[in-house]
Amino acid sequence: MSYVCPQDIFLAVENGEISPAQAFKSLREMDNITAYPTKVDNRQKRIEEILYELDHLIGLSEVKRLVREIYAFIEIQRRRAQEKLNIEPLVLHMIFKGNPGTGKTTVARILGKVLREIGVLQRGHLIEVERADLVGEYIGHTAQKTREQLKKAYGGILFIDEAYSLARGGEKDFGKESIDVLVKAMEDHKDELILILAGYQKEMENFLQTNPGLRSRFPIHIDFPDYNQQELLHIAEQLCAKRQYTLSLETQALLLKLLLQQSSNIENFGNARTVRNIIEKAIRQQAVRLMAKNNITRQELILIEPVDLKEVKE
Amino acid sequence: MRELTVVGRPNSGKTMFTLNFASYIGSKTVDVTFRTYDDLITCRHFSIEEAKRELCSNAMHKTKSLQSIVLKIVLGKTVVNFKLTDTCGIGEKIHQEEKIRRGMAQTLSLMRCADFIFHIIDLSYISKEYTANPNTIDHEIYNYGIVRNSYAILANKIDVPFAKDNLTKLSNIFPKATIIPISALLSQGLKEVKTCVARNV
Ligand SMILES: Nc1nc2c(ncn2[C@@H]2O[C@H](COP(=O)(O)OP(=O)(O)O)[C@@H](O)[C@H]2O)c(=O)[nH]1
Ligand SMILES: [Mg+2]
Repeated sequence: MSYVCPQDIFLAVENGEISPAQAFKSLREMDNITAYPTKVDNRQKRIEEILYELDHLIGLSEVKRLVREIYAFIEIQRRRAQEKLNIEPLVLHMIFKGNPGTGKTTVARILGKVLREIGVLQRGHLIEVERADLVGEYIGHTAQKTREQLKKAYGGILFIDEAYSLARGGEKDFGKESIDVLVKAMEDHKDELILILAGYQKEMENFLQTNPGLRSRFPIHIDFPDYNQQELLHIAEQLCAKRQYTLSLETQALLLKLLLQQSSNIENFGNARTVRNIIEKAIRQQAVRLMAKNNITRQELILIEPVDLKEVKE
Repeated sequence: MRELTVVGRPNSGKTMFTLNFASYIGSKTVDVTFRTYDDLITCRHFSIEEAKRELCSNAMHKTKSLQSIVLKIVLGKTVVNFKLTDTCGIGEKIHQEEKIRRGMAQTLSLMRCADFIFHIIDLSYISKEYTANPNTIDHEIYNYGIVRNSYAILANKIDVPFAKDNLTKLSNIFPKATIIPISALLSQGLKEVKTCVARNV
């Protein structure tokens, strides 16, 4: 068995497919392939650190797999190029489908970093825009605005949230003009721009269906599913742990209940942003509650109690 | 901040070393950050004694995740912070328990990013079979570490009978490595370790 990247080896150890001793052998083999200058080692180390960051996002297993696949693909194409073998063209424009707060921007940002490290993008930064940043109010204004954003994005990723809003308003709408400018830029600046169109699943699919020319330019599609309850709780715990707070078991139960309640009126239940807002509010509530006390123990400073979530219920 | 990691076979004394070394360079208490494979982070505050009671054990695989502490070292007039991370022990075989396999994967993963690797070997473990076997996990760690140049072996439990003889054997098996004999339990040899740390933070 040969592995493409170290993460695959670690995963194989986790799954009990190989022993730690075998893992070392594979890791050494892998390093031998890239064992020329130490610069390569540093680069690989940095890539691993970035992928480590990706791996530790909660859930998103499909997304993680895809990012890794993209990484492996690029690496292998490069090695093929070194051996003077034919290589596949590298078209990395992407469609991200999913509800708000499911990790699209975070993943885009990580992708940018990976692509910078492997040398696909010069800078790998992310410019996040929406319709209002691209579309103007009079003829000519739109092209100018879109170009401005594109200019900022060269060397990195232009991430367009709710991209379908560009197609809103039909033929006469300036959104169309923006799309044309974007498509032209994708050709003229092939090697220095990656475009990611993001938005709700259904709307994105409609958008692509009505713009078949666009679809073919975006070969990579990634679905961002909603988080399930367990994952959301996990996110909450992670957010707390980073700030050195803990949720009591009762608080966890109440948090889940709140999330469920909210899900009946908001269409997306699996929202990490909602969790973040709740936790941040609870931390402030806890502070208010503790200020009223005389003696505060270390434990009390750490613990978020159910009452701290009271205010959150809207 | 540089990250130094402590790796080795289960029960070699990694946790004991980490805590007694923290104490040796001046910490009375430690904030241990536990990081499990799924990145759940918890932080606990211990006195060194409490930490030893709770975290060291004769039982195999007491440490199942990454346990980091941030320490200060005084170099002349400056104080440098560094991270010392204790890890889940690794052995030759596939472990039947998933949690431990995950811990081991974490150890491997950290070894690739860490700025320095302390490889702890238990001197009381060096037997005839051990000496004859060129495929122990310690060989693997050694082969992996030696090419990285930021690697040292800590030959632990120098206080046990026959340890001195085994130390000689060890330096024959791993000729290219810096080997520092220590007793993590009795805090012996830690001065040399400190010198080594000072050069690498
Ligand atoms: N005699 C002796 N025993 C030690 C020494 N260091 C650790 N031990 C013992 O070895 C056992 C395992 O130690 P621990 O630090 O938990 O090992 P780990 O699994 O590598 O973290 C414990 O019972 C320790 O008391 C040492 O230097 N000398
Ligand atoms: Mg231990």
